Amino acid sequence: MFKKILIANRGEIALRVIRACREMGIATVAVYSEADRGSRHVQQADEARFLGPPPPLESYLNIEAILSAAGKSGAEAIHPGYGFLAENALFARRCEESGIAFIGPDSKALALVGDKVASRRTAASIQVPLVPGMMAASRSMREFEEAVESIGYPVLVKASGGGGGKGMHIVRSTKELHSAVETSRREARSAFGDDSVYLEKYIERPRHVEFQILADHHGNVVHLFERECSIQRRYQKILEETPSVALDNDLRRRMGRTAVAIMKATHYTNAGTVEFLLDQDRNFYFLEVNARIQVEHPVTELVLGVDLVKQQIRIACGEKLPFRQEDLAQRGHAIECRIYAENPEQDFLPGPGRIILAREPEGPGIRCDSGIYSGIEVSSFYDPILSKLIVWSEDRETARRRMIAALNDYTILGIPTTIGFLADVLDHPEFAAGRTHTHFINQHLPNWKPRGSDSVLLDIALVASALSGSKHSGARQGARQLESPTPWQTTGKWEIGGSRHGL
Amino acid sequence: MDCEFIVDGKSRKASLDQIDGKVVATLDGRRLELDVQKISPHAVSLLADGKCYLAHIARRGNEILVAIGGRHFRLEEPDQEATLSRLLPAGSEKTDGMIKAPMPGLVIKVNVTEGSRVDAGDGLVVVEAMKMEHEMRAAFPATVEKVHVKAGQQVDAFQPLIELKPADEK
Repeated sequence: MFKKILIANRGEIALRVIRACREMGIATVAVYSEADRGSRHVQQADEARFLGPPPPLESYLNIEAILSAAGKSGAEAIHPGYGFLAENALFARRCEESGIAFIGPDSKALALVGDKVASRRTAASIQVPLVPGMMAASRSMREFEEAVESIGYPVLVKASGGGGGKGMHIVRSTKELHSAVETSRREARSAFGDDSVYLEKYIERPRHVEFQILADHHGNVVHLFERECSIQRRYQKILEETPSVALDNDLRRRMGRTAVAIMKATHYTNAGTVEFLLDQDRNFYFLEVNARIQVEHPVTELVLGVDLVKQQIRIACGEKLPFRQEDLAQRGHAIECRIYAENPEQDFLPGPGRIILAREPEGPGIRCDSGIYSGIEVSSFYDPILSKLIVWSEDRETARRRMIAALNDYTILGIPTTIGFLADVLDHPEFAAGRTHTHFINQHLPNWKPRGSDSVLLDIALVASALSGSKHSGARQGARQLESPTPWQTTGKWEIGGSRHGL
Repeated sequence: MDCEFIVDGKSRKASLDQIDGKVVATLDGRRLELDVQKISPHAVSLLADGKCYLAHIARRGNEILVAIGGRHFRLEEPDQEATLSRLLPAGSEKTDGMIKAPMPGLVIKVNVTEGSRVDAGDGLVVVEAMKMEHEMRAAFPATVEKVHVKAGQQVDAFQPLIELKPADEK
């Protein structure tokens, strides 16, 4: 087994990998940019190496800086997390050349499946159904126009090298096509360092269903069942669950078999995900392979009882999978909510800034994979994910209720977050009924505003504020009180905030 | 003791007293009797009429952010006019044509130059934060009077980016 692993990432996923390494007795090396000196992964790793200035291209996308950090620290392997260099075949190849194990597929498989267009061709070659679209990325606007002529609007412009919805734009008319392609290119270059884009037919109101795969270096490939990720904003997942209510055992078996076949055809190793769209008639179409650990991997872990990150490390080390397909079964139901630094009242506009207070929920069946703490400055340079709240319960309905309670118990003050919005998604009767699709948010929660609360709650908020002491009108007293644990009511004196009008 | 806060642009007054170890609050004529226990520098437990409330509180300048059971409130102490005017939504005659950054981020593209004529809906400037682009568009036909930023420049929230002069103004 490896003795030391460098984690080429930040935020909650870096912490997730650090935890797995600790439990396996593996030392960890964090890397960080100037903006991340105060981030939790730097506090939690055994070693930390500085990469460079905040922009991703100069830090977390800087291949040579990361390899140099690995060399200096003597790390034998690199875990890329998700995003950044996770699906960058050049990075995987540079690791191979430097004699460092890349915890993911090898550079050849990565080049094949990481390129969405190449993986579509491979899937087509083994008769897997595909969403109609361009079979190659193009630089010529003419080719985009021709593709649209043959498949018709609406279409989706997508980044070949991307994932997570970045650089993806829906286009409904020729007028929008040109600027959508241009924007996609810019976003793709900034996010993945590769600006090739293509387009495919946009299927209305589909479900997004994906299968988790593990493949070792001994030819064993298994799937760990599905995740449904239909609840999306900006074509990016915000809530995921497993099992999917849309699958019966027959469909589940067929999709699982197809996913395994695609991974075998691409000689894929390590953890990966095969994404499908499921239309309203329950036809499934291959979408793409995500050649990395995914943000939503915890729901699979909770329902399968498998630690996916540890399996990734064991596979990269050459170990055989410890189970066969028939050993794996789903148990109970898990839901994940992504907590983003975004304002759901303003079309999910990013809201970086300082978190004054962060308090996580706890209780049976609640897991919080978080990268934040009270006082952290959330940078505008990186993905707005703050944390992931995951619950497990015996069935979907109890998991849904558990998640609502956990969200109501999750407090982040200082920046906007998606917490209140997510609670309303889960509380929606259509969600409770399992009638989900990728336009769920636009259809059921457009122009969302937080629900009004009764006046008693506002009264309580006013009283609490008044009692919390003021920095302006009672600076000395207030400051002392903030540090003092003495309950006000026992001393008979408390600090009143707000502006005072006599006494 | 009386205090005043601004909530959603409205003034809210609270009058607080302490009687037999309880806090008695009068709010817009409503009377609330509370048992108050400070839990931490940021948390207060309040019992009112047999109901339990756990309030989390954070202060930022004269802003007070309060969360109670998943509900959020933003209060202001009305003693700093500067903060108030900063938080007022743009919309006065003076700021009509002022395009401001909606969030802290990086200007990645400026589509116009001073003197350019733009139509309603035309893209003016693209700001990127957290890997998402946000395009600021003209709300009305106008002439670009001033461009305050360049591509590659880091901007703060509410920082002026571009000034427009409506086309019908001579």
